[in-house]
Amino acid sequence: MIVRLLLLALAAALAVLPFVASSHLIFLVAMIGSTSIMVAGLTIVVGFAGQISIAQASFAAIGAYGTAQIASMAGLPHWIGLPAISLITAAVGYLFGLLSLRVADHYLALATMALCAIVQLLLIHLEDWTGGAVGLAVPPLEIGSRVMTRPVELYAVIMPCAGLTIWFLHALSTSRIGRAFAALRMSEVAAAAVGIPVLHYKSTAFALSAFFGAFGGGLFALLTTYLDPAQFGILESVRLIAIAVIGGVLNPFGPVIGSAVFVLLPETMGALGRYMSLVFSLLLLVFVVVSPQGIAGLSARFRGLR
Amino acid sequence: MRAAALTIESLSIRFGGLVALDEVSIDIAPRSIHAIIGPNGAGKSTLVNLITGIYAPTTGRVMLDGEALTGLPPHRIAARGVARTFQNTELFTELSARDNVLIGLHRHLGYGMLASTFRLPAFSRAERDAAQRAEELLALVGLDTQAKTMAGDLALGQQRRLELARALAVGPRLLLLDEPAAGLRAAEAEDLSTVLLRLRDEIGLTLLLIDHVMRVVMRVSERITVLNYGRKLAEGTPEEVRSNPDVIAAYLGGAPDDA
Repeated sequence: MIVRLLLLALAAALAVLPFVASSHLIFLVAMIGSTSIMVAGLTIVVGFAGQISIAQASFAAIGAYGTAQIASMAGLPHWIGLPAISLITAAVGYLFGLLSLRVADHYLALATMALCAIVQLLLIHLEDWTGGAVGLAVPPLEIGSRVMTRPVELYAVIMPCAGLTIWFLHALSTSRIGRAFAALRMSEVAAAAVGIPVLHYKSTAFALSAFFGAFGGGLFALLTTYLDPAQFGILESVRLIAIAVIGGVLNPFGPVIGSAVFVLLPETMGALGRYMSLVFSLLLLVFVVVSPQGIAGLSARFRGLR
Repeated sequence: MRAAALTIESLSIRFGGLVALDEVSIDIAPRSIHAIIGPNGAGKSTLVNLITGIYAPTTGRVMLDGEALTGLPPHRIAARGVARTFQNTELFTELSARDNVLIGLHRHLGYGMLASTFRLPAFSRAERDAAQRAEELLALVGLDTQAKTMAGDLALGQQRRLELARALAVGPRLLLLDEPAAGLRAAEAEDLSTVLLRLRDEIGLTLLLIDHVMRVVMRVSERITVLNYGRKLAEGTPEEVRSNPDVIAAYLGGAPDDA
């Protein structure tokens, strides 16, 4: 009941925000929205399904560059291009997940890291397609004849998507699919023994993580309007993992909470902003040791439920 | 569901130089309780892992009602109606007892991601039925009051019963129980025997029971196979096995605790 009231209050606040807040704050909240969609993919693959993935930045890159280039090279509108590239990335994610048949655990983590490195190299060297090291301008979102470049307009597109993503995480975690993910996180042997096709579900988890990575990446591209390959390396993957872990990797709201911390904290730190990565590293360390369930898991800890 | 007959045909498996199972053949009649006994390292658990597809045999095969199980991945073998429990329990320890059983029911819940995302009628119907079935199964093993307890917080005897409920949720025709009585107190072992007999008589399952605890094995089994160093040492009714001199020498005589 309290959770529902809080959610209603949050939704109301987000609906009112564009009318009262500065353009900068609206941009930041939209950034929280798009980041949380990218992170939602990690929540599924790392949190729900218990697989380590250091490839999220590369899925985001495919979504971001794909969204930009489908619009500028094929001339298709973003509302077709963004979902299309997300679905394609999901297929890539599924195929990548099949790799887990051959490699598991630490080696799978290394393979995801290699994927991330390869995609970043491709971004730099496939200059005709990606603009190379210089980067790439993203064509603006157009709906009808209206060009959406103001933060408030993108906010109106991104926030409902983020809301749907949270709902999807909630629905997933309370379904047979979410339970199958939990099963393979805790015991693959037992999962297979009750008839759960482990490989298929691992691949599905990677497919979903790729989908949300790409979708969030595409929205991120629209918001920032310019893409730089330096934004999509292994460090970015690690940053996304840190957001997921600090937010809480087993909770549908984890990605939003984590993204809010990571986007808003540097804004409030003023001159200390340059030590941000140190602060985040320490935060990550503290949460891994003290509360592996992240901020979302803290309330349950205090209530003594877990 | 109809009980299944299990045929194990000259099954062998080698781990490096060790022959863990050597040309073992066993026929298990439908709707019967068949026990496999033998000292530690006799190959009992290896046999279960071969039947359920965790290991692939070096030679030989396993047939369920005339269809080969050998070569199928574990989840497909489960789908054919073979469920199991584990020697050291393999529960989803951070989930509730109820969720453990619901995961056992996974195969029977047909809906996909669309139905769950949009909470379509197919989702609600399947989840409602599953919740009811889970409740029945928990009641069957006497854990209905523990439905919300985390599996890892249950006592050992309760964990074994929860594993049994989860295995039953799969909808098996053949149930493999790997040392279900190990570590149970006398009264718990007695309850277990009663449950196993009910599973055969009321649900009509075929049971393959692996155990050390002679009290349970002798009471419930129709036939017993004795393994020793990966080979079949003897086979017969409990009385025949009990009076077999080889068995007494290899197993019963050497282990006073088990008598």
